[in-house]
Amino acid sequence: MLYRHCGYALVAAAGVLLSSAVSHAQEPAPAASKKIPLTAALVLTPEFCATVNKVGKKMINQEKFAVGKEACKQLEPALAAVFTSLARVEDSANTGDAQVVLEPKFDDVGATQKAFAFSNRELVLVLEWTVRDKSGKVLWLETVEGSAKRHIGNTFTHGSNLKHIIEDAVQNLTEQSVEKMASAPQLRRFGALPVK
Amino acid sequence: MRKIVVLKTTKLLCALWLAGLGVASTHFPDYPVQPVREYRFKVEQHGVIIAAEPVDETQAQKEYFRADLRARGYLPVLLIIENASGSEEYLFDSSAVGLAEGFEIEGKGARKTANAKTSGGIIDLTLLKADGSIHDVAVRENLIKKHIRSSTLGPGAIVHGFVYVPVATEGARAEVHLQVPLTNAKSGEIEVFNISF
Repeated sequence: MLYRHCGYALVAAAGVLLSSAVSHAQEPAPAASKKIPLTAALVLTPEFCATVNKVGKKMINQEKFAVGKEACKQLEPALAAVFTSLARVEDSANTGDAQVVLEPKFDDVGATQKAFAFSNRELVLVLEWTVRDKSGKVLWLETVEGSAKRHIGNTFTHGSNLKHIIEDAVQNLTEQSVEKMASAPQLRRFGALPVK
Repeated sequence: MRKIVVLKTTKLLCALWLAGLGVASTHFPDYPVQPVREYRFKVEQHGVIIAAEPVDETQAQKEYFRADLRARGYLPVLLIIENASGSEEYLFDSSAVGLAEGFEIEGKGARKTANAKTSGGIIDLTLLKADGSIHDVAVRENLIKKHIRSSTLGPGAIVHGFVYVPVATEGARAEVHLQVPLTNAKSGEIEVFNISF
């Protein structure tokens, strides 16, 4: 008898916990409620995705930072959290029904090398954003800077460190982009306008 | 076989160490920025104030840029833009800054500089390649880092940074007439600010 009551109590507790979990899942995420009510097209051209920063002297100590490839991987999912809808396109001429078009452009900044294999070096990336409306009018123009510091490494760890410094710098650049775009009053105001 | 691997590894480590040695000692301090109204060369229109400060002195160039830029054929000019209007917003596109009058540059650095100009006649650093030395790469990176950035200027916003103007490498510097266009974000009208120094 006692076991039966305990069983009922357990089932009831599980039910309460389950319904609580479901109701939490149905609540809108805090980030989602702050989304800018606009449909956006993110223009990631093949040229942008192929951007490589070359640092150093060819054949001697030149390093290649494939920042475009990493940016094209990270920007789309991150910016999807800023707008109600975001579509990735390769050409600014094919943006469909998007209300705003987001165009990133890299500025040429590379990595600062340091003297010793065990010392840190910094990779600085500068990205210029242009956001236009359907008619091509510029709504917002901003430059963001992302950076990362990592050990230059030795012969054995250099390749891995190079990969990670690119990932970290692009991640920082992406976070800065999201923060600036999400808080841009110009975009929020444009999103609040009645749809024509 | 093992000896060769050790030798190659040592060589590579030495190359990396030597390559970085030149840059490790290179530190580029930030250029001091004053309130916009304190500058000698400034212009005010529609509540926007733009000031310019040319860094003519070789000593100052060496301190903040670690190079004699005049000898390379360009002059760093600090631009400070403040939107002091109460309600207007402006779009500043750094690539639109240019010279009111283009002029031919003479001297050693003339050809190199002439090939690295924007359509507005100022230096496009992405076109200006470093000579390959580690020090020169660091100098170029610093020039790019200090370059003024495109921005949307809401009421009260300030943006500052450098533009690089081509100048003769020898003799007295000619007067520079700089044009800074800003686009009114609401009306789309372009306001051009002219500053001479």
